[in-house]
This record gives sequence, C-alpha cells and structure tokens, in this order.
Amino acid sequence: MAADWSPVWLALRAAALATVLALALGPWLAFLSRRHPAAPLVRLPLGVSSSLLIAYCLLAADFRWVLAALVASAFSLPYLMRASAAAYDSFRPEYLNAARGLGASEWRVFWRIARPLALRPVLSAASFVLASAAAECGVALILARSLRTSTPPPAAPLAGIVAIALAMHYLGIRLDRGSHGL
Amino acid sequence: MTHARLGKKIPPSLSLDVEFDLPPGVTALYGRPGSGRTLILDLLAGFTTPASGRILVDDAIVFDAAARVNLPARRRHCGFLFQREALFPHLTIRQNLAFAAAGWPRLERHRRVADMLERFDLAESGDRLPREAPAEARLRAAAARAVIGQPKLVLIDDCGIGESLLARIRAVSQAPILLVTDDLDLCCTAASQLLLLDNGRILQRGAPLEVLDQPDSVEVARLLGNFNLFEGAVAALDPGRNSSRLDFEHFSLTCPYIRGHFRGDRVWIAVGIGRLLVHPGDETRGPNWITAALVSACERSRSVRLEFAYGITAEISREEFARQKDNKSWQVEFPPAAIRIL
Repeated sequence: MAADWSPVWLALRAAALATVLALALGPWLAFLSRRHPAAPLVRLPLGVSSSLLIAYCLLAADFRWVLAALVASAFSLPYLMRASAAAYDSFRPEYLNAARGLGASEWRVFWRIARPLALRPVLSAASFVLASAAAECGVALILARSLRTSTPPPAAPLAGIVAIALAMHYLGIRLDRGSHGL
Repeated sequence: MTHARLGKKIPPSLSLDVEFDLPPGVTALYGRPGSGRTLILDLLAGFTTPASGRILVDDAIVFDAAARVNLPARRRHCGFLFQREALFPHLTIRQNLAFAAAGWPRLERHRRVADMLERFDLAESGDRLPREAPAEARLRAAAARAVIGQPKLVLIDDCGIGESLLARIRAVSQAPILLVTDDLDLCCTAASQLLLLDNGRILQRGAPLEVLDQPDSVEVARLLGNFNLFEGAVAALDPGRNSSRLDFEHFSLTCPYIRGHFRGDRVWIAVGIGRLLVHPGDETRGPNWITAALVSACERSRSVRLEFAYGITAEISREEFARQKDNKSWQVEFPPAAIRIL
C-alpha cells in the first residue's frame, strides 16, 4: 500500500505560512522595538508554542493548516525578532546613524540599510523556524493519524519530514556561516 | 548662527558641560580620547540626546531641553564624517551618494552625484563597492556623501582627514565645520578657531596659533603636550627693571616682571619645547643658560626631540641636530620671551 504523504504536505504548508508571516513582520518589528525597554520580553520565544502546535496537531478533530500556521507563528515571530535584533546589533551602529543623518526615515533606514545587511542571518533564522515548525507539525500529524487508525506510523513520510527538517537546518547553518564580517 | 550648549553625564566619570559658537569656516576640537569629543558630535547630530542645553544650527533650534524640542537626526541637516568607515557596504560608492541625495528629483540627483564623483576624484571608484576601493577613495567618498545634501553643519570625527580633503569639502559646502582631530598642525593650517577639551570641559578657545603659543593653564599646557612645565618659587621681583627671578629645583631663570605675585609664591612656568635654544659647550653665557646632560635624542619626520636632564625637552631641526650631535656638553637657553607664567 502506498504511504500517505498528506500530513507532510499539510505540515509544510503550515510551516511555510508561519515562516512567511514571521519574515514579513519580525525584522521590522525588531527594528522598531530595538531601543524599547520591553523589547527583550517581546522577543522571548514562547516555550509553550511548540507544545501548543504539537497538541493541536495531535488532538484537533478538524485539522486546519492555517490555524496550525498561526499557532506556529507564535514561536517563529519572536524567534525571528530575536535573530533580527541580534543581526542589527552585530553591524556597526554608524551605518544606521549615517543613514539617519542623511535624512532617511526609519522605514527607509530599515528597508535600504538594516534589512539588506541583516539578510543572511535573518534568512538563516527563517530556515530554522521552517525546519522546526515542519518537523513538529509533521511528526505530530503522522502520529495522530496512526493513533486514530491503530496502525504503526508509516516510515517513509516520517523519514521525509525528518530529511526536510535536516536540510533546512543545514541551509540555516550555511547561511549563518556567511553572515559575519560586517 | 550655529551655537551649542550641551550637558550630558556618561557614567562613570564623564560629565560634559560645554558651550561654544561655530562661526563659518573650520573649528577644530582637540582633546584626549575619552574627553567627550565624539559625544559632542553625536549630540549635535542627534544620535544622542543631551540632558540639558540648546542647539542652534543655522539659526534654527534643533534641540532645546527647556522647551522640549528635539529634532531627530534626519531633520537636523548635519553632514557627518565618522571616525570609523560608515559607507554602506552593500551599495556602490555611486549608490551611497545617491542615497544621500534622495531628497532631490531624479535628474537633479544624478547631476549632483556625477558632480560629486568628479569633484572628489571618484570617477574610477564610483561603481565599486566600498571594500573594492582604496582606503583614500573611501575617505573621499565618505566626505562627498556627507556634503552632497548641502548640510547646514558638517561634523568630522577623527578620521585621518587631511588638509586637501578638507579644502575640497569647504569648496563644496559653506556650512560651519566642526573637526575633531589629534593633528595640531592641521588645526593651525585649516582651522580658524580651536577648542581645547578636557574631561568634558572646554579649557581654552581662540585662534589656533594663539592657543598653542599661550596656554592659559597647566592643564592646557599638559594637554597640548609640547611644553616644558616647571613649578618653582618667586625668588626676586624687580618692577623697575621689569624682571623676576624664579628658583626651580635644579636651576634658576630670569623672566619679565610677574604681576600679582610676591616673593616666595609658587608658580608654574610653561616654555614651548620648540622655543628652547641649544648650544654646544660647558660655559654658560647668559642668565638663562643651563648646563644639562643630553639623555636621549628622538628623530622625527622634520625635527629631533632632545631630552635633557632635569626634565627639559627641546626640539630642533634635523639640520641643527646634524651640526651639534657630536657636542660633548650642552647648554640649554630659555629665552625670557618664551617663558609663560601660568
């Protein structure tokens, strides 16, 4: 019998949407909140979000991948904000001050200077987020399905999701290695 | 008018409290690292907020602590040349200039960028990333970027700028320039005003040559580093002959009459190391000739610095040293006109 790959696709879709949401908002929110006293609290990765995601995938009678993506973004957004803030702090403050002194608005400083300079570490963090969300959601969905049908979990989809997660981690490490030296 | 009154405390020990005008032309700011030089530039540019004070740039208030006015850096119209290189590394030099000229319409922007590339000899480096251009071109590019937007105040941190680049900046921008530098020669040749800063306070201000020749205090003389400083006692005062005699630990000096002092008072004198004269021989031929053993001679680019016993330092030209280097004994002469009572 052919293995059921649908949990893998659902998990990938949810992880991809969560990552896109985090990528769209995280770097800009991190840039805005850099000097805010409450910024470290906002950036704390919510430890419960992984458990929430796994619980939702295991227990949801009517699984919706968009909802799973929103739950996953509760982890991925603070994580990306944290990674972005670390990237902004890693390059010379003169770059941002120079741009401000040349008359650029905060959005222009972010879009033209901070975002391109922080691109590699932010993409690296995004690939970790994608790997983490896909693995947690995918494995939980496969286990949930096997529990409901009282069958052993299929090896091929499990191996597939683990392979995708490892590949994303590897990509993240490669991107992170090339991001130093500014 | 450009005027600044700035107060700011930086723990643990720096307490900045300065007030100065910036007339058209170059004002040099000289001081030790950590004395608050870069902080002053950051406060003027709006990168840091003063705790108190007021900043006027071209008659416009950009900061007033009492009135709670604090314009952001982007609205202060200050061109800034940073101590460390700050060209955007992911943009070419041309794009760096275009970024700074973004406020102009497209055609005008292109014209200005092309004009700046030509004026600052950047035509060859224009399409290179900063890391691909030579260091001198990068400095010229940073200067061009600082003035392309026609700033109302140019702030230059200690970035190794030379006289020729400063002249190019002045040819492009008529705005007052505040230059932080360690180069006293550059202060003399390029600046119309010199501010001496020490531990957050301006110790002395004035025309550079005047400040360098006539320090107001022991602190200023120490800061400038090119003075012999001795503490001694007033041994004799003769207003009729306009002379005084000062006794130091190892020698005595005669100098013009010192007003406002009595015999026995302790005073400091400062004598520029370039104004001492050195002679061969072991015979004193004048009142301020002192026999002193030569301890060391240190050759510099245009002069030789001689360290004598009793803590006396003199600087003579290389030619003069070549004539006298075989002296068996030395006389150091303190010209009375060179002695400054502090």
